[in-house]
Amino acid sequence: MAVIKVPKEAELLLKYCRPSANRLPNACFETYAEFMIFAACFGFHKTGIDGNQPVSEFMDQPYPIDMAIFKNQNLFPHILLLGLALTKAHDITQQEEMLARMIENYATKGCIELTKLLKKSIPESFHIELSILIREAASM
Amino acid sequence: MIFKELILKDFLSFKGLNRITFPNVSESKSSLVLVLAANNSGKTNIIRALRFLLYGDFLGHYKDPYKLINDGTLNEAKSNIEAWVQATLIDNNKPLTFRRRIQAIKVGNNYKVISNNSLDKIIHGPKGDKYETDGGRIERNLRWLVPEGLFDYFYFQGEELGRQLMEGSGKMSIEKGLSMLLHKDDWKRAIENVTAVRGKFAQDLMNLVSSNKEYQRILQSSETFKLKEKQCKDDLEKALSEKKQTERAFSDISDKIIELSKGGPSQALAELLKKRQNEWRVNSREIDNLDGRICKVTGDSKGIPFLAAAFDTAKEVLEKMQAENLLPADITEGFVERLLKRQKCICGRSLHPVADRNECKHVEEYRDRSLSADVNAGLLALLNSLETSAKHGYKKRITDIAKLLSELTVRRQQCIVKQHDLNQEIQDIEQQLSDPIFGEITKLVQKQRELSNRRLEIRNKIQGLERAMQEIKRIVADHEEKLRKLARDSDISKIKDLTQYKDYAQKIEELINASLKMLQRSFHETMQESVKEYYDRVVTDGTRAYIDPDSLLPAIMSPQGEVRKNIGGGQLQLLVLSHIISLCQLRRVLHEQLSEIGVGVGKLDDQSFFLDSIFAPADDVYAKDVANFLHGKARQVLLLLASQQWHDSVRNAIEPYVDKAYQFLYHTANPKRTEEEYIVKFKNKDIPLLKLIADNNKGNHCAYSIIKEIK
Repeated sequence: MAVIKVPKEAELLLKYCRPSANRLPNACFETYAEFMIFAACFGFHKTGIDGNQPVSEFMDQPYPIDMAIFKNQNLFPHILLLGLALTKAHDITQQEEMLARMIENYATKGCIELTKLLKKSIPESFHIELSILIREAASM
Repeated sequence: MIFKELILKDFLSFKGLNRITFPNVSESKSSLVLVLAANNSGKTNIIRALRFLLYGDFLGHYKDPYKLINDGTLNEAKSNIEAWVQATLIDNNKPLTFRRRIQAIKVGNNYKVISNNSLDKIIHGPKGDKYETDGGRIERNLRWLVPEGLFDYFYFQGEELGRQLMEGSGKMSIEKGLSMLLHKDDWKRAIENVTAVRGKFAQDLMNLVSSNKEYQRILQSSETFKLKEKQCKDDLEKALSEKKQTERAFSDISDKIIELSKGGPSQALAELLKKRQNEWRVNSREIDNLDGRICKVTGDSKGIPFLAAAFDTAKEVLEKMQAENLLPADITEGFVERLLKRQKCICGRSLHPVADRNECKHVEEYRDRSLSADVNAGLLALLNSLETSAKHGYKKRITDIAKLLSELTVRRQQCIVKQHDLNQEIQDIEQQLSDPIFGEITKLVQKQRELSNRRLEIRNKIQGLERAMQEIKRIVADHEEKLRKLARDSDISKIKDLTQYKDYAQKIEELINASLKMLQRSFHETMQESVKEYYDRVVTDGTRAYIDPDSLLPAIMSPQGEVRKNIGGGQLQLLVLSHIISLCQLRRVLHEQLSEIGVGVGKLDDQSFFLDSIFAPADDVYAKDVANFLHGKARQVLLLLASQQWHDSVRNAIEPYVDKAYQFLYHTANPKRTEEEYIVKFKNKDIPLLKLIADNNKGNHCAYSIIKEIK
């Protein structure tokens, strides 16, 4: 089964994931998988179809996440949605490796943008910044 | 353990037969027996006699036990001499009489002990008393009723017990006695045994897998992290306990500030400060709560609002799939695969690879386009979520998320502004109360500020420890998983079994540890409440009783929240009395509860107390408080008082509640004393405590006491 690796660009953001040893009190993401999907969605939102550029640098920890974990956490429809929007064809839904690379690529873009935002804000109120991003996206 | 009678014959300073009979009182009532004595006339010998009787203690005369026999009796003896202590107890409504004696013979000018100090049970019969040597049964029962470690606690000298309680000192320290009460040794032994079993399994496992280096490495690492986890858990518990104490101290100071300012110029300010501090706390909790909710909504959104632009395209593809009859996939990829292997049509008919080539091609085409079960389920869920009219559709969800986040953020903003204003206002009030004209209040406000900062530090510490704990748990779980996989790979069922046994042992160890902590915590909380109930009500200097959570020994907490052990006088006596009475009640309840759940420790009767010189270190005011405190707190109290402590304030407080009174009439030939100096008043009667006797033995006369009831 395909695995999704966590990109290097996520390094500063992992403390907002609850399983992280350095997690902050305002950690928003219950799992690393949830964080990866959030970052990928945001990456897609920021870069559109052009954002699906291959990346090569990943973190050793956390370990790559099995696609089954995304399926168990009801995150698979999001991955399929991204895949369908990107290729406009259903074939991709059967190609898990391609879907995994797509998530890694968009998550990288998302992490770059989120890290920029984090550097401009106070770590303790980063959850407020994220909620503003969501509200802005929802109003579009 | 309630006494009916105590008899001393020629024991220490008591010459002849001396008897104290205790009033018979029902369970719900209390009795007070007063013993008045001249100083140095042998009050404490009553308690020594009891120690001799209960435990066979030679009271320091191990080499020459005959010295327990009264000096005068020894001098007058011609041959055999005997001294004994006898008591009749009422234990669970049954009388039990027993006696411990010491016998000696005179050999020239010396004495030789001829009998050991064994205990005899006395059976009262119509033909007189029968003596039965105790085979250890009564001794065991007595040690159970009054564990030696707690003897000084129930039958005590005021100052000595105070020192033991505050410093944990003493031959058999009270701290050790309290540990015995909670059966801490048994708990520790159980933990040690389980730890040893776990260690044995871990060692066997290590030996078994020594050939598998990777397994061994992970196993060792796992054990290390488990130790770290235990340490982290202990630290966390300590931090939580400190947090609780700090909060309690903060609240106590608040109350104290209000109390001190009552009727004064600072009253309005003090009340306002407390009100604002409470508002600050509530508001602070509300901000934490809102932050938590914003985090949850943000995480739960799973980024779906960012994909709104993809909805239409995805929906188009999905609708096309529906049109092509690919979605929903009635027949999944796996099913078609299996059919092809069997060379059968989807209708079940056999397919010949050559004759039915066209049909085979169709099936293969279908397989290429068919969906796996996972994808089928995922796409159907997606299609459902993309339906504009769907109740739980993405569009509806996005609107809901945005609305909720907007509401929460606005409320949070309002709370932040309110918090800022409250901070400002609290600081202003603190500033105003820092004026030296407010005296003690100024110091309390300063202390409260320090506690507030400390509370913040503890909170951060707890968060850090919780994070560390979570990470360690994750690593341990990770290790366990790897170990399980390695064990499977190498197919060593024994490894699996040993791993499982080791884990069971660890779980039992954790359970025992947790149970002991729970027992200690519950005991501590009950003691704290009970001692506070007694002590805090009586004292007037603003101090509060404090029970150390580990040792269960008492201390006091100053209005500034400092724990102090170096107290003395009447304050110490009050604290000590509150502590022993609370402990006895708790001990009895504990035994009752254990008995109810079938743990065979037996029920305990009420505890009797012999209190020696408890007013000695107290000034007039505290002596009165202590005297008032005593009434009605225990079923049986024997109060041993020196004549100089029997001053008016004590007398007025005690006298109305005395059920029976005794005098120690001290016989001495010491010409420096006069009988008039040692006459005390009891219920308006003159009671002599000293009798001068003629020194008819050329300066070799021995002083002695006799016990007489005051009628």
